[in-house]
Amino acid sequence: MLELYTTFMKIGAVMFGGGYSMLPLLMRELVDNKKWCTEEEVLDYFSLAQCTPGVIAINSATFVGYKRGKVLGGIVASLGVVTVPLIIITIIAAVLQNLMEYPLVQHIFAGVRVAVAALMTVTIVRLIKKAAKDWISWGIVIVAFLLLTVVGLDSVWLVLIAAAFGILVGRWKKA
Amino acid sequence: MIKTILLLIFEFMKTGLMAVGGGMACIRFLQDMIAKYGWLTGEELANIIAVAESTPGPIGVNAATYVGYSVLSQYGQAWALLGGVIATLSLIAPQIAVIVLVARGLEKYRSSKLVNDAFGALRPAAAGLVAAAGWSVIKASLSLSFVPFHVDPISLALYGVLVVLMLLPKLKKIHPVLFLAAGGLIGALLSL
Repeated sequence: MLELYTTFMKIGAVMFGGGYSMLPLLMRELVDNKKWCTEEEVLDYFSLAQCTPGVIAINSATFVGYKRGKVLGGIVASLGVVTVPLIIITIIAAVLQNLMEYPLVQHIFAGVRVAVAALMTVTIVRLIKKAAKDWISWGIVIVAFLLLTVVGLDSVWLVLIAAAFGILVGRWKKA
Repeated sequence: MIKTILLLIFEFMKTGLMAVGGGMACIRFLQDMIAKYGWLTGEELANIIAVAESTPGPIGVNAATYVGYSVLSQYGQAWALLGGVIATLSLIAPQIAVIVLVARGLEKYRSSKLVNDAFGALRPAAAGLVAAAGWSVIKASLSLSFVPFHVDPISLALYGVLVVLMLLPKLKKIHPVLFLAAGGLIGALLSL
Protein backbone atom coordinates (compact mmCIF):
# COMPACT_ATOMS: atom_id res chain seq x y z
CA MET A 1 0.00 0.00 0.00
CA LEU A 2 2.83 2.35 0.89
CA GLU A 3 4.50 1.52 -2.39
CA LEU A 4 1.25 2.30 -4.21
CA TYR A 5 1.10 5.66 -2.47
CA THR A 6 4.72 6.63 -3.16
CA THR A 7 4.54 5.50 -6.78
CA PHE A 8 1.54 7.72 -7.50
CA MET A 9 2.99 10.52 -5.43
CA LYS A 10 5.99 10.43 -7.76
CA ILE A 11 3.75 10.46 -10.84
CA GLY A 12 1.73 13.39 -9.45
CA ALA A 13 4.93 15.28 -8.69
CA VAL A 14 6.50 15.03 -12.12
CA MET A 15 3.48 15.25 -14.43
CA PHE A 16 2.95 18.60 -16.08
CA GLY A 17 -0.03 20.11 -17.79
CA GLY A 18 -2.97 17.81 -17.32
CA GLY A 19 -4.04 14.24 -17.80
CA TYR A 20 -2.71 13.60 -21.28
CA SER A 21 0.91 14.04 -20.22
CA MET A 22 0.38 11.24 -17.71
CA LEU A 23 0.26 8.31 -20.14
CA PRO A 24 4.01 7.97 -20.81
CA LEU A 25 4.66 8.30 -17.06
CA LEU A 26 2.14 5.56 -16.26
CA MET A 27 3.74 3.32 -18.87
CA ARG A 28 7.23 3.79 -17.47
CA GLU A 29 6.33 3.45 -13.78
CA LEU A 30 3.62 0.79 -13.85
CA VAL A 31 4.66 -1.35 -16.81
CA ASP A 32 8.45 -1.02 -16.98
CA ASN A 33 9.47 -0.37 -13.37
CA LYS A 34 6.84 -1.97 -11.11
CA LYS A 35 5.42 -4.50 -13.58
CA TRP A 36 1.98 -4.03 -11.98
CA CYS A 37 0.11 -3.82 -15.28
CA THR A 38 0.57 -4.71 -18.93
CA GLU A 39 0.77 -2.00 -21.56
CA GLU A 40 -2.72 -2.94 -22.80
CA GLU A 41 -4.17 -2.59 -19.31
CA VAL A 42 -2.72 0.88 -18.88
CA LEU A 43 -4.05 2.00 -22.27
CA ASP A 44 -7.42 0.53 -21.37
CA TYR A 45 -7.59 2.29 -17.98
CA PHE A 46 -6.46 5.52 -19.56
CA SER A 47 -9.15 5.49 -22.23
CA LEU A 48 -11.79 4.58 -19.64
CA ALA A 49 -10.52 7.42 -17.43
CA GLN A 50 -11.48 9.79 -20.23
CA CYS A 51 -14.98 8.31 -20.43
CA THR A 52 -15.71 9.02 -16.78
CA PRO A 53 -16.23 12.42 -15.18
CA GLY A 54 -13.52 14.45 -13.48
CA VAL A 55 -9.76 14.78 -13.63
CA ILE A 56 -8.29 12.09 -15.90
CA ALA A 57 -5.18 11.57 -13.73
CA ILE A 58 -7.30 10.79 -10.65
CA ASN A 59 -9.46 8.37 -12.61
CA SER A 60 -6.43 6.51 -14.00
CA ALA A 61 -4.84 6.34 -10.55
CA THR A 62 -8.03 4.98 -8.99
CA PHE A 63 -8.29 2.27 -11.66
CA VAL A 64 -4.75 1.04 -11.03
CA GLY A 65 -5.10 1.42 -7.25
CA TYR A 66 -8.35 -0.54 -7.26
CA LYS A 67 -6.74 -3.33 -9.22
CA ARG A 68 -3.87 -3.56 -6.71
CA GLY A 69 -5.79 -3.08 -3.48
CA LYS A 70 -9.55 -2.74 -3.98
CA VAL A 71 -11.33 0.38 -2.62
CA LEU A 72 -8.56 1.32 -0.20
CA GLY A 73 -6.02 0.98 -3.02
CA GLY A 74 -8.06 3.34 -5.18
CA ILE A 75 -8.19 5.93 -2.41
CA VAL A 76 -4.48 5.58 -1.60
CA ALA A 77 -3.39 5.94 -5.24
CA SER A 78 -5.53 9.07 -5.74
CA LEU A 79 -4.31 10.66 -2.53
CA GLY A 80 -0.78 9.96 -3.76
CA VAL A 81 -1.41 11.91 -6.97
CA VAL A 82 -2.71 15.01 -5.16
CA THR A 83 -0.12 15.13 -2.35
CA VAL A 84 2.71 17.06 -4.02
CA PRO A 85 0.48 19.41 -6.12
CA LEU A 86 -1.49 20.28 -2.97
CA ILE A 87 1.68 21.30 -1.14
CA ILE A 88 3.18 23.20 -4.09
CA ILE A 89 -0.02 25.12 -4.89
CA THR A 90 -0.56 26.05 -1.26
CA ILE A 91 2.96 27.46 -1.01
CA ILE A 92 2.63 29.36 -4.31
CA ALA A 93 -0.77 30.73 -3.33
CA ALA A 94 0.57 31.96 0.00
CA VAL A 95 3.62 33.59 -1.61
CA LEU A 96 1.72 35.15 -4.53
CA GLN A 97 -0.86 36.67 -2.22
CA ASN A 98 1.78 39.18 -1.11
CA LEU A 99 3.65 39.46 -4.42
CA MET A 100 0.53 40.36 -6.41
CA GLU A 101 0.78 43.96 -5.20
CA TYR A 102 3.97 44.54 -7.21
CA PRO A 103 3.43 45.98 -10.71
CA LEU A 104 6.17 43.76 -12.16
CA VAL A 105 4.39 40.61 -10.97
CA GLN A 106 1.14 41.92 -12.42
CA HIS A 107 2.82 42.50 -15.79
CA ILE A 108 4.31 39.00 -15.76
CA PHE A 109 0.92 37.52 -15.01
CA ALA A 110 -0.74 39.58 -17.73
CA GLY A 111 1.73 38.00 -20.20
CA VAL A 112 1.30 34.48 -18.83
CA ARG A 113 -2.50 34.86 -19.02
CA VAL A 114 -2.25 35.65 -22.73
CA ALA A 115 -0.05 32.58 -23.21
CA VAL A 116 -2.58 30.47 -21.31
CA ALA A 117 -5.36 31.79 -23.56
CA ALA A 118 -3.26 30.80 -26.60
CA LEU A 119 -2.52 27.38 -25.13
CA MET A 120 -6.20 26.75 -24.42
CA THR A 121 -7.10 27.83 -27.96
CA VAL A 122 -4.71 25.26 -29.41
CA THR A 123 -6.00 22.56 -27.03
CA ILE A 124 -9.59 23.38 -28.04
CA VAL A 125 -8.77 23.20 -31.75
CA ARG A 126 -7.24 19.73 -31.28
CA LEU A 127 -10.10 18.58 -29.05
CA ILE A 128 -12.77 19.69 -31.52
CA LYS A 129 -10.91 18.03 -34.40
CA LYS A 130 -11.01 14.78 -32.42
CA ALA A 131 -14.60 15.05 -31.20
CA ALA A 132 -16.39 16.53 -34.24
CA LYS A 133 -16.42 13.92 -36.97
CA ASP A 134 -19.80 14.35 -38.65
CA TRP A 135 -22.46 17.05 -38.88
CA ILE A 136 -24.28 15.88 -35.77
CA SER A 137 -21.21 16.02 -33.54
CA TRP A 138 -20.27 19.41 -35.05
CA GLY A 139 -23.79 20.55 -34.20
CA ILE A 140 -23.42 19.35 -30.61
CA VAL A 141 -20.07 21.18 -30.20
CA ILE A 142 -21.54 24.45 -31.47
CA VAL A 143 -24.87 24.20 -29.63
CA ALA A 144 -23.05 23.28 -26.37
CA PHE A 145 -20.73 26.28 -26.74
CA LEU A 146 -23.61 28.67 -27.48
CA LEU A 147 -25.78 27.31 -24.65
CA LEU A 148 -22.96 27.94 -22.17
CA THR A 149 -21.73 31.31 -23.43
CA VAL A 150 -24.81 33.03 -24.87
CA VAL A 151 -27.67 31.43 -22.95
CA GLY A 152 -25.63 31.04 -19.75
CA LEU A 153 -26.68 27.46 -19.09
CA ASP A 154 -25.12 25.80 -16.05
CA SER A 155 -22.48 23.20 -17.03
CA VAL A 156 -24.23 20.49 -14.99
CA TRP A 157 -27.35 20.85 -17.11
CA LEU A 158 -25.33 20.74 -20.30
CA VAL A 159 -23.78 17.40 -19.28
CA LEU A 160 -27.19 15.96 -18.32
CA ILE A 161 -28.86 17.19 -21.51
CA ALA A 162 -26.03 15.86 -23.69
CA ALA A 163 -26.16 12.44 -22.01
CA ALA A 164 -29.95 12.26 -22.46
CA PHE A 165 -29.64 13.41 -26.07
CA GLY A 166 -27.03 10.75 -26.82
CA ILE A 167 -29.23 8.04 -25.36
CA LEU A 168 -32.26 9.27 -27.33
CA VAL A 169 -30.30 9.35 -30.60
CA GLY A 170 -29.07 5.81 -29.86
CA ARG A 171 -32.66 4.61 -29.39
CA TRP A 172 -33.84 6.38 -32.51
CA LYS A 173 -31.06 4.91 -34.65
CA LYS A 174 -31.97 1.42 -33.47
CA ALA A 175 -35.67 1.87 -34.24
CA MET B 1 -17.94 30.86 7.07
CA ILE B 2 -19.51 27.45 7.71
CA LYS B 3 -21.83 28.20 4.81
CA THR B 4 -18.88 28.98 2.52
CA ILE B 5 -17.16 25.72 3.49
CA LEU B 6 -20.32 23.71 2.85
CA LEU B 7 -20.79 25.44 -0.52
CA LEU B 8 -17.17 24.68 -1.36
CA ILE B 9 -17.66 20.99 -0.58
CA PHE B 10 -20.93 20.84 -2.54
CA GLU B 11 -19.59 22.69 -5.60
CA PHE B 12 -16.38 20.67 -5.85
CA MET B 13 -18.16 17.35 -5.38
CA LYS B 14 -20.49 18.40 -8.17
CA THR B 15 -17.49 19.17 -10.34
CA GLY B 16 -15.82 15.81 -9.64
CA LEU B 17 -19.06 14.00 -10.38
CA MET B 18 -20.19 15.90 -13.49
CA ALA B 19 -17.19 17.43 -15.30
CA VAL B 20 -16.96 15.13 -18.32
CA GLY B 21 -13.85 15.95 -20.37
CA GLY B 22 -11.03 16.04 -17.82
CA GLY B 23 -9.30 18.94 -16.10
CA MET B 24 -10.17 21.50 -18.78
CA ALA B 25 -13.87 20.72 -18.32
CA CYS B 26 -13.38 21.23 -14.56
CA ILE B 27 -12.21 24.78 -15.38
CA ARG B 28 -15.65 25.57 -16.80
CA PHE B 29 -17.26 24.34 -13.58
CA LEU B 30 -14.90 26.60 -11.60
CA GLN B 31 -15.98 29.54 -13.78
CA ASP B 32 -19.62 28.69 -13.06
CA MET B 33 -19.09 28.65 -9.30
CA ILE B 34 -17.03 31.84 -9.01
CA ALA B 35 -19.65 33.67 -11.07
CA LYS B 36 -22.50 32.25 -9.02
CA TYR B 37 -21.09 33.15 -5.60
CA GLY B 38 -18.82 36.05 -6.59
CA TRP B 39 -15.84 34.24 -5.07
CA LEU B 40 -13.22 35.46 -7.57
CA THR B 41 -13.00 37.61 -10.70
CA GLY B 42 -12.41 36.15 -14.16
CA GLU B 43 -8.92 37.63 -14.13
CA GLU B 44 -8.09 36.05 -10.77
CA LEU B 45 -9.26 32.68 -12.06
CA ALA B 46 -7.17 33.15 -15.23
CA ASN B 47 -4.14 33.71 -12.97
CA ILE B 48 -4.99 30.52 -11.10
CA ILE B 49 -5.21 28.58 -14.37
CA ALA B 50 -1.83 30.04 -15.36
CA VAL B 51 -0.27 28.75 -12.14
CA ALA B 52 -2.09 25.41 -12.46
CA GLU B 53 -0.70 24.96 -15.98
CA SER B 54 2.87 25.80 -15.04
CA THR B 55 3.24 23.71 -11.88
CA PRO B 56 3.48 19.92 -11.57
CA GLY B 57 0.30 17.93 -11.12
CA PRO B 58 -3.04 17.60 -12.93
CA ILE B 59 -4.49 21.00 -13.95
CA GLY B 60 -7.92 20.19 -12.51
CA VAL B 61 -6.44 19.30 -9.11
CA ASN B 62 -4.07 22.29 -9.04
CA ALA B 63 -6.81 24.74 -9.94
CA ALA B 64 -9.20 23.22 -7.37
CA THR B 65 -6.61 23.53 -4.60
CA TYR B 66 -5.90 27.15 -5.54
CA VAL B 67 -9.57 28.15 -5.76
CA GLY B 68 -10.32 26.50 -2.40
CA TYR B 69 -7.36 28.35 -0.90
CA SER B 70 -8.43 31.72 -2.34
CA VAL B 71 -12.08 31.41 -1.34
CA LEU B 72 -11.23 30.86 2.34
CA SER B 73 -8.18 33.16 2.44
CA GLN B 74 -10.34 36.05 3.69
CA TYR B 75 -10.60 34.21 7.04
CA GLY B 76 -6.81 33.89 7.43
CA GLN B 77 -3.94 31.67 6.42
CA ALA B 78 -4.97 28.57 8.37
CA TRP B 79 -8.46 28.58 6.87
CA ALA B 80 -7.04 29.16 3.41
CA LEU B 81 -4.87 26.08 3.83
CA LEU B 82 -7.88 24.08 4.91
CA GLY B 83 -9.86 25.45 1.95
CA GLY B 84 -7.30 24.06 -0.48
CA VAL B 85 -7.45 20.63 1.15
CA ILE B 86 -11.27 20.62 1.33
CA ALA B 87 -11.68 21.61 -2.32
CA THR B 88 -9.18 18.99 -3.49
CA LEU B 89 -10.66 16.14 -1.45
CA SER B 90 -14.23 17.12 -2.42
CA LEU B 91 -13.18 17.05 -6.08
CA ILE B 92 -11.60 13.60 -5.99
CA ALA B 93 -13.99 11.79 -3.61
CA PRO B 94 -16.89 11.35 -6.08
CA GLN B 95 -14.43 10.45 -8.83
CA ILE B 96 -12.96 7.63 -6.75
CA ALA B 97 -16.48 6.37 -5.99
CA VAL B 98 -17.46 6.42 -9.69
CA ILE B 99 -14.27 4.63 -10.79
CA VAL B 100 -14.65 1.94 -8.12
CA LEU B 101 -18.21 1.30 -9.34
CA VAL B 102 -17.06 1.24 -12.98
CA ALA B 103 -14.09 -1.02 -12.16
CA ARG B 104 -16.43 -3.49 -10.45
CA GLY B 105 -18.65 -3.79 -13.52
CA LEU B 106 -15.90 -3.10 -16.05
CA GLU B 107 -17.18 -5.34 -18.85
CA LYS B 108 -20.75 -4.25 -18.31
CA TYR B 109 -19.78 -0.57 -18.40
CA ARG B 110 -17.65 -0.92 -21.50
CA SER B 111 -20.26 -2.82 -23.50
CA SER B 112 -23.26 -0.92 -22.16
CA LYS B 113 -25.22 0.56 -25.04
CA LEU B 114 -26.60 3.23 -22.74
CA VAL B 115 -23.13 4.43 -21.74
CA ASN B 116 -21.80 4.32 -25.30
CA ASP B 117 -24.83 6.22 -26.64
CA ALA B 118 -24.52 8.84 -23.92
CA PHE B 119 -20.84 9.33 -24.66
CA GLY B 120 -21.54 9.67 -28.35
CA ALA B 121 -23.06 13.05 -27.47
CA LEU B 122 -21.01 13.74 -24.33
CA ARG B 123 -17.69 13.78 -26.19
CA PRO B 124 -18.59 16.63 -28.55
CA ALA B 125 -20.49 18.37 -25.72
CA ALA B 126 -17.33 18.20 -23.60
CA ALA B 127 -15.40 19.81 -26.46
CA GLY B 128 -18.00 22.62 -26.47
CA LEU B 129 -17.65 22.86 -22.69
CA VAL B 130 -13.88 23.24 -22.91
CA ALA B 131 -14.31 25.77 -25.73
CA ALA B 132 -16.59 27.83 -23.48
CA ALA B 133 -13.99 27.62 -20.68
CA GLY B 134 -11.32 28.80 -23.11
CA TRP B 135 -13.52 31.62 -24.37
CA SER B 136 -13.89 33.01 -20.82
CA VAL B 137 -10.11 32.84 -20.32
CA ILE B 138 -9.50 34.57 -23.67
CA LYS B 139 -11.94 37.33 -22.75
CA ALA B 140 -10.35 37.83 -19.33
CA SER B 141 -6.79 37.71 -20.71
CA LEU B 142 -7.20 40.09 -23.64
CA SER B 143 -9.50 42.45 -21.68
CA LEU B 144 -12.03 41.67 -24.35
CA SER B 145 -15.53 43.00 -23.93
CA PHE B 146 -18.05 43.89 -26.59
CA VAL B 147 -20.10 46.50 -24.78
CA PRO B 148 -18.28 48.88 -24.79
CA PHE B 149 -16.01 47.39 -27.43
CA HIS B 150 -12.58 47.06 -25.93
CA VAL B 151 -9.55 44.89 -26.50
CA ASP B 152 -5.92 45.33 -25.56
CA PRO B 153 -4.11 45.43 -28.95
CA ILE B 154 -0.70 44.33 -27.64
CA SER B 155 -2.20 41.35 -25.82
CA LEU B 156 -4.18 40.45 -28.93
CA ALA B 157 -1.05 40.56 -31.09
CA LEU B 158 0.91 38.45 -28.61
CA TYR B 159 -2.00 36.00 -28.48
CA GLY B 160 -2.09 35.69 -32.26
CA VAL B 161 1.65 35.12 -32.53
CA LEU B 162 1.63 32.49 -29.78
CA VAL B 163 -1.30 30.56 -31.30
CA VAL B 164 0.44 30.45 -34.69
CA LEU B 165 3.73 29.37 -33.09
CA MET B 166 2.04 26.63 -31.07
CA LEU B 167 0.30 25.28 -34.17
CA LEU B 168 3.55 25.06 -36.17
CA PRO B 169 4.38 21.37 -36.56
CA LYS B 170 8.09 22.03 -35.98
CA LEU B 171 7.43 23.61 -32.59
CA LYS B 172 5.05 20.88 -31.42
CA LYS B 173 7.78 19.27 -29.34
CA ILE B 174 8.39 22.43 -27.30
CA HIS B 175 6.98 22.07 -23.82
CA PRO B 176 3.93 24.32 -23.23
CA VAL B 177 5.47 25.64 -20.02
CA LEU B 178 8.17 27.34 -22.13
CA PHE B 179 5.45 29.28 -23.99
CA LEU B 180 3.99 30.35 -20.65
CA ALA B 181 7.43 31.50 -19.50
CA ALA B 182 7.89 33.42 -22.76
CA GLY B 183 4.51 35.07 -22.20
CA GLY B 184 5.55 36.12 -18.71
CA LEU B 185 8.85 37.52 -19.95
CA ILE B 186 7.18 39.52 -22.72
CA GLY B 187 4.57 40.72 -20.25
CA ALA B 188 7.31 42.03 -17.97
CA LEU B 189 9.29 43.63 -20.82
CA LEU B 190 6.29 45.39 -22.36
CA SER B 191 4.61 46.17 -19.01
CA LEU B 192 1.39 44.58 -20.26
